[in-house]
Amino acid sequence: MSPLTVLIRLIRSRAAAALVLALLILVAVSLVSGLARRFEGAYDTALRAQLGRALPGTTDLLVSQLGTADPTRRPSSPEEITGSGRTWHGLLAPELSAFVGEAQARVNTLREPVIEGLPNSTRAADQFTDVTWLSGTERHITYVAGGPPAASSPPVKHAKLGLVPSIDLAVSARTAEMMEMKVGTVFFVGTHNLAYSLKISGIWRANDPASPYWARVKRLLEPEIKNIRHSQAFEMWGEGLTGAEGFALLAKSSSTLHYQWGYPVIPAKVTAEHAPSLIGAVKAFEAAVTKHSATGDAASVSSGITPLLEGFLRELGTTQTIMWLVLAALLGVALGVTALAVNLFTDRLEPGFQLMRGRGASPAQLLTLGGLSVAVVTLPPAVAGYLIGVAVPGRTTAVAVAAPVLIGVGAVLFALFGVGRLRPYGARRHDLAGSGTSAPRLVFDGLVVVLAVVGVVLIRQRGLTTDTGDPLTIAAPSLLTLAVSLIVLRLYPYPLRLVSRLAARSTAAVPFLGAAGAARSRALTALPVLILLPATAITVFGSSLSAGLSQAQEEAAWRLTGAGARMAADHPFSAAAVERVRRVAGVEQVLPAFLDTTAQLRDGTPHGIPVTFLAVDLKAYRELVEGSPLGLPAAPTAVPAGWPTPDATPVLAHPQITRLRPPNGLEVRADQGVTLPIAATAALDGFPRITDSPNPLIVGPYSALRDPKPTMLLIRGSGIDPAQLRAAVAEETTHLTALTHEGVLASMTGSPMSGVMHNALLVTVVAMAGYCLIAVLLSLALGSAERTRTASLLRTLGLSGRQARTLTLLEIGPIIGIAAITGLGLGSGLPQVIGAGIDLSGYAGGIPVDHYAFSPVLPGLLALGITALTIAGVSAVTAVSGRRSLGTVLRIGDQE
Amino acid sequence: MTYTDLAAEAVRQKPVFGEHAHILCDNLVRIFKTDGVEVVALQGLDLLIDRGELVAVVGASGSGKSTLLNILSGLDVPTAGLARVAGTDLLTMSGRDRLKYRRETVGFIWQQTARNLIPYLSSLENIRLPMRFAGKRDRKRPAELLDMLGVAHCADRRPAQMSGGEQQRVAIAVALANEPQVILADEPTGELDTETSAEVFGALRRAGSEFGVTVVIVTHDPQVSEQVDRTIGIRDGRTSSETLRRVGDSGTVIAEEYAVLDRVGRLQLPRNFTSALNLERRVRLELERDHIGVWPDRPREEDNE
Ligand SMILES: Nc1ncnc2c1ncn2[C@@H]1O[C@H](COP(=O)(O)OP(=O)(O)O)[C@@H](O)[C@H]1O
Ligand SMILES: [Mg+2]
Repeated sequence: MSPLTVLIRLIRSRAAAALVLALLILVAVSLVSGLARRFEGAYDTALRAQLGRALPGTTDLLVSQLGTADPTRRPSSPEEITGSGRTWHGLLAPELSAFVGEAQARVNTLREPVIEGLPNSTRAADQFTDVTWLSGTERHITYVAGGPPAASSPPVKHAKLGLVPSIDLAVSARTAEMMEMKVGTVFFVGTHNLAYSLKISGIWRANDPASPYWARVKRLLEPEIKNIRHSQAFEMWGEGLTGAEGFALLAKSSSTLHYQWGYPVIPAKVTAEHAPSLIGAVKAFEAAVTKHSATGDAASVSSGITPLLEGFLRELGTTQTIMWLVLAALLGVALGVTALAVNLFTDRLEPGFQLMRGRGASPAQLLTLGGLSVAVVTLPPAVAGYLIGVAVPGRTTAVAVAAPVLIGVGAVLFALFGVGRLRPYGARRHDLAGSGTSAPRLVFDGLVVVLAVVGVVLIRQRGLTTDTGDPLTIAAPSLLTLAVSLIVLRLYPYPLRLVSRLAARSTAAVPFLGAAGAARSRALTALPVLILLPATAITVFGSSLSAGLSQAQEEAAWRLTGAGARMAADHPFSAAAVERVRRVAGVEQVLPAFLDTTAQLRDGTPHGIPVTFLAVDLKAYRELVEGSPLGLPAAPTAVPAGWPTPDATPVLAHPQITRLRPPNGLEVRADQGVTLPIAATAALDGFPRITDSPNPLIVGPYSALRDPKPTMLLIRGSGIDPAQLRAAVAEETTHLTALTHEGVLASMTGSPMSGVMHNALLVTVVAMAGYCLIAVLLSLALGSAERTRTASLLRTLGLSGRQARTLTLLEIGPIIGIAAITGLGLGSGLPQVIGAGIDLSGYAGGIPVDHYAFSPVLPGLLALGITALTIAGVSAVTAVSGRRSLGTVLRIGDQE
Repeated sequence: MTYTDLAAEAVRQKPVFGEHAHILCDNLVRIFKTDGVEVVALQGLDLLIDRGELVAVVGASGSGKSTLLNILSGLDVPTAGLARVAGTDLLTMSGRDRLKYRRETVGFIWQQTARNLIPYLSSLENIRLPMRFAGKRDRKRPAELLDMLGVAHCADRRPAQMSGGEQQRVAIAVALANEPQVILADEPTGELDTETSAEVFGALRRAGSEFGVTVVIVTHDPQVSEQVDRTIGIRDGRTSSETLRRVGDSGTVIAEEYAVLDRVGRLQLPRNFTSALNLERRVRLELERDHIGVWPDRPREEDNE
């Protein structure tokens, strides 16, 4: 007989418990490992999605250099400019250059005014035409007329400007059409002391206008048209391509040239892990470029990637905090359940081990045997669980690796602890009343409680989602549930003892026995409490967090839209356009309003402060959003006594404005010739964010304007397609905004991070609920041998099967009930306690989430499930034991 | 001669109490503390057993028999007093000595048949287990032991596949596995019927005589106690009586019951003696030439309040 035989026999003798243990380890490890990986993967997806969704070109690293005075020291040929591009690329830190694609180099003039020679100069008040050389154009355009800029053109003589250089220019078909250019057209640009002529050599069409190649040079495709404020006139700004010779000619003249090298960041390769180092690398790149160009023309780096990454990291911080909370709770509960299962496994090894101890086994020998047996049972499922976790798409992190190690090592340690407690001779007597408190336990319990309280205080003061999320605050919610569990464990026997004392007076035997049994404090009751209580608490907490987030997103979407849908534009909507909007599918009602984000507030002096002015019929607006979570303030009706201008219109205004006490009153000046004396004393509070403008908002009545034309439409309705709204007004407006509540909400809930968050909470809630049920089943299984024996003994004394069932229920019911109820209570209270520290505003359009919805559905279901399972389990256990013959049970029971 | 030498001489004069005994208990006390309540299981027990003796220990339930055996087997530690088995002091021994003692010096058998054997190991494996713990490797001994105890046919059976008597005989084999000097059996036949218990007792007796092992059996079974040379009675945690058996002239077994006189001269009178003469509180003693007389106290008026 080898030691291995003993090991295998030992495990086989507890096959069922070993199987339960193995399964639980498998589930726990794959859950934690898989979730950790899933989280990481989701962060990466979220980052790539954000990078991908950013406007093309905005995340590029852009090196700009103004080539000024000295024409000899700036690049003057394509070779030189690509050479400089390589120099900049060489300054990239390796962690950044891995994600950076090939540079797009560009040289262009800076808004050169057209002096004469273009036929349409009467229509546009001002015209500008820039000359650009862009790397790689030949791959992106096709000539439809003429050809590429020629090698060189002779200088052209102009009546007033004299002999000026001539440069060939190729323009897009759209530019040619809008600026009325033809192949061969010659015109003059520049200033009177530095002018040159441009000759159209060809007209081209972009192969793919939507390609990111054009993202930063949109003016090459189509001239930019700008309205000139407070006038019907507009300016037109076009741009054309020149060749190497044109570029050289430009560079040699002393006009200012703008050099640019754009390095695209390739999102497919970026992961969330890289984000912080990327920000640093971009900063380092900026510094390196500045330093490198210190002697010549100053070069600088600009990129939209830094703010994007910073925003992402902020959001990531919150999600990671929640992830840590979730994983910590999950790991804790998984460890608890593992301990319970190990206990189940080693439970009935005890008599054998005690015998071995009596027969001369040294503690070390028994520890080896016990540890090995548990290791043999836990190792394969831990490895398998890890492999399952690895199969989950995502990225492996330390947590994913640590989970199987922690749970596996934990299981073996629990086993060693259990075996180490064995005495050679039955010194442990289960039937004795609960032993008193040991000093180390008391110190430990006290420490947990103190740490939990400190953690909670820290969370409330500093918030959980700080960049430096320290372990104590992360662990605080778990610690708090642990602390409550320990307190419950300490206190619960007292009321039960009272009950059992009362029950002792009655003549009924079963309540007495049940209460007495329940009041006995045994190690076995500790674990179910330590699992069930945190698990129920986290389930409820997670679900109310999730519900709170959903509700906050719904509210935030309303606040950001301001109505079922909202449209705004620079120019007024015509009556016909409003009529077309009314007929768009889903639109029920349209309320016209006037919005000017660049209005002026004057207090009698000529210099005003910039404000946003909204004129809307507040009463109608309130009716429009009835039934939504928006609470609009009522319009002020009267000018308060003492206001310097009694005939002013009372308005609602930002507190920043209501604080003003101007001696000569206030006046709003806005588009459409609006000049409105106002009395701004009523503070505007909780008004929807109808504009992104940082200027303080003033809301006045629409009826106070003389003959107003709406620049904003507030719409009631649902299921509206924003594209249809745009289409309804497209022809006549620029800078059009068209938002729907559903669209804004969808963009919030549809953000990958938000999805991760909801999924994580959902998985946690389901896993925790599952663990609750497992804890109930395991605690039933744990004492079953002893209970069966007691019940059998009692049945020889005349206990009926039904009484036996009641007895079991009375024995384990109270502890499960207390644990579950306390857990539910704690879970409902947790959002109030630590919710203030979790900043979820990143998921709700920046609007703070300050209240968490408590939905009684899930806790109710959970309580129902636990109750049903307890009753079913008890019935099953007593039914099974009832079928065994009393003789067998009692003889086997003697082992205990 | 110095004073110290004198003192040493004085001690040397009488042989030390139980110097040559194989098992020696002197004024042994074991107090259990549970939940603040103290239970005195042994209160000054004296015991002397010689090498190779077969002794039965009897007494009412709760009188402390199991406690005594647990102490002797090194599973429990006495609170005070002296306990020595085969030259090993059970009070002062270290944890390592205790392990060695359990491995090499004693073997024991419990009352519950199932408690003596690991349920998932066969008889042979059960016997090999303590040998393995002690680091011994004797391939033949387990089978020989089973053979000697008449349970060779059970070699490959698990406990559940054997009768109670077979289980107990295998348990004796397990106890003998490491060639102990002392076998302790706590009601080994308590769960068995008369016939089987005779078999088991026979096996124990054979083991004792064959290996020269000292055997102590705690028992309720008069059949067992009547077959041993010496029966020690325990009452309230003290040895109260001894019954010696010898074969009389006519070939019948004569049992003579003795009361035990402890080292300070205390004596426990058998309960039936005291109740027959209504002895209470105090007795009058009178020393005669070859015996001591015990008379009931004549109650006087002032004592009777
Ligand atoms: N581990 C223990 N803890 C507390 N009391 C004990 C323990 N073991 C025995 N006792 C008490 O000591 C006394 C003697 O018990 P025991 O030696 O088992 O008696 P016996 O075997 O003669 O029936 C009893 O009163 C018993 O309750
Ligand atoms: Mg006993």
